Amino acid sequence: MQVGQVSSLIIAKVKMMTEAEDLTELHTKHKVVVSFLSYAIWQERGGKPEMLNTCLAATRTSGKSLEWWYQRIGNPPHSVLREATPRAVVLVSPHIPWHLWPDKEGFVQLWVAAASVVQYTEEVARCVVGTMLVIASHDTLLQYLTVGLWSWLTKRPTLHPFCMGRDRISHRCVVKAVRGLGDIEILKSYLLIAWSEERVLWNSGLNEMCAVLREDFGGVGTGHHRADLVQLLDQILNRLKQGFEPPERFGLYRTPRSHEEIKDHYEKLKNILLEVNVEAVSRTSYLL
Amino acid sequence: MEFLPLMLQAALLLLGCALSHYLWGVNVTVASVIIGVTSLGVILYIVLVASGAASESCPYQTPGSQVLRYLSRRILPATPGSESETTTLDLRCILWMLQTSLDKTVHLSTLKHFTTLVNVDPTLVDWFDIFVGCTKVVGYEVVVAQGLEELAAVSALGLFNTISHLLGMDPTSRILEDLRQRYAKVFPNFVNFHGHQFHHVMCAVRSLFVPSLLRRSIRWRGYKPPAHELAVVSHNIVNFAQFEYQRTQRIKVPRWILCFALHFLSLDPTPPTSVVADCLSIIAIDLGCDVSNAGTTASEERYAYTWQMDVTLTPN
Repeated sequence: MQVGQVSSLIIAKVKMMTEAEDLTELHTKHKVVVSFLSYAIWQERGGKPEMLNTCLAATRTSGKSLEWWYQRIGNPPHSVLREATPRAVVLVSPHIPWHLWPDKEGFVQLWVAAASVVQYTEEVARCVVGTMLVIASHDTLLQYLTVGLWSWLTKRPTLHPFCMGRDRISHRCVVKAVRGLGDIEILKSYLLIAWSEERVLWNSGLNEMCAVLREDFGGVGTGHHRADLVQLLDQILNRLKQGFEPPERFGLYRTPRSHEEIKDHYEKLKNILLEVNVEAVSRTSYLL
Repeated sequence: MEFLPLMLQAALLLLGCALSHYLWGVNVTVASVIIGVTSLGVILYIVLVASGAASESCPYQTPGSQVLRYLSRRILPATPGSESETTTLDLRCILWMLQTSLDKTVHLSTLKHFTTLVNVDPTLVDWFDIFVGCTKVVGYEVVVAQGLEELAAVSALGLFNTISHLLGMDPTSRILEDLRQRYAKVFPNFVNFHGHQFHHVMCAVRSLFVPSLLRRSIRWRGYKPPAHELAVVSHNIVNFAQFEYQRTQRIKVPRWILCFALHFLSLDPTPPTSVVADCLSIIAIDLGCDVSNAGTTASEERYAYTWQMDVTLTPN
């Protein structure tokens, strides 16, 4: 009863800080908020997810990592996650820089086991895709990703602003890995997630994307896929022309040069798609 | 066998009743005397049973009073008065044992038990003196005399209790200042408690006495105390958290205290409920929540725990 009372007090206070207009208090108290994360994980395992949801919502809003927590929970840092539910593993993973830890493989195996059985929710999908993209950007870890996991891309979640997967989504190896699956639906979903006015694409990844558009989306039956992609590119370019500014709280720093660079990238992609479309149409009329 | 005295008492009552009844028909005056004596006996018996049931320290305990006490505990909610009475009695026994016993094992068990008592003034024992008597500082290393490791650990815990108690009562007290000065005289700032059972507790004591120094040096990861010690430490750490939060003008709780909460909340299986409650209280204090009401139940839970300790310590 007493533990329940204190837990309720903590949950109410953290929710208040998360929903406040001014996030200064949440930023200054972030270490305190993540101090009860392990306990929240145990609670979630016992069927009480509220504490975990509150803690992670606060972490997402503050945009800070869980460094204070994982540096103090033991060795290896994911020792607590070994005892957690698949949902907890999936939800916590995007907030920790596991790719910098010595036992990356151990973590990835743990994550794959969790992500393979976790139930779909919008939040879970965002977290699964975010972490999967980081895994895919490592050649040595790519082997652990199954086709079943890649199919989470078809849910087309919006990635969290703090998510490390956002930076790595246009890595050449990620584009190649998705392309290697040979599934046009997953490939299209991937591009729809990867393209955003907030993001500068990696040059190597951009070249690979161009090749993808030419070679995989040039088929006769892929017209509706091209239409979806063109529609998204139009929206992105429109927003960029209107002088889109990313939300400041997520610290997405952009120089005027990068703004122009993003515009060039997406214009290039759109031009290729239009070219491919013209070719495909002419090929169709030739066949007819 | 427990029922034999009860049966004897019942037989005596029946004899008195039967004799009164018989004599009433023979001679009323003689019968009145017998009735008076029997009634007096019954009244005295009821008073004795009632007083035995009301207080455990009553020297006239009967099987009836034990049954009555058991029933009243089951039916009526526990009253704070009875707890404090038990604690006072415990304290008297403890002090008597510490003054009279020459047996080291009894001494140690008694001190150990004393550290588990809540709402008791820990300054009744000079824990610092006991600790210093068990240890010696060589350079910056603390060395414990052979065979006194356990006593040193218990006295360190007692010292920790004392500081917590004094900070809670009056942070500017002369006793606390005196203790701080004695500590500074014996232990240099960079003294190393590493490798001893009392390492974590004494590091916490140092953090309180020398706040500017090495707060980050407490690594709770290796701290695996017995359950009773953990309950005592966590309870005191909540007091420190409260005190430090007030001292820093409601800004924050020191990080070594927050690390304590994080460490013990990360254990699987989780520590006893009272420790979890204390760790969550530390977090709640740092978040600025009012945990003053919630603390009452925590101490009740802890009392229940120390009461169990009583039972385990009885054979010693």
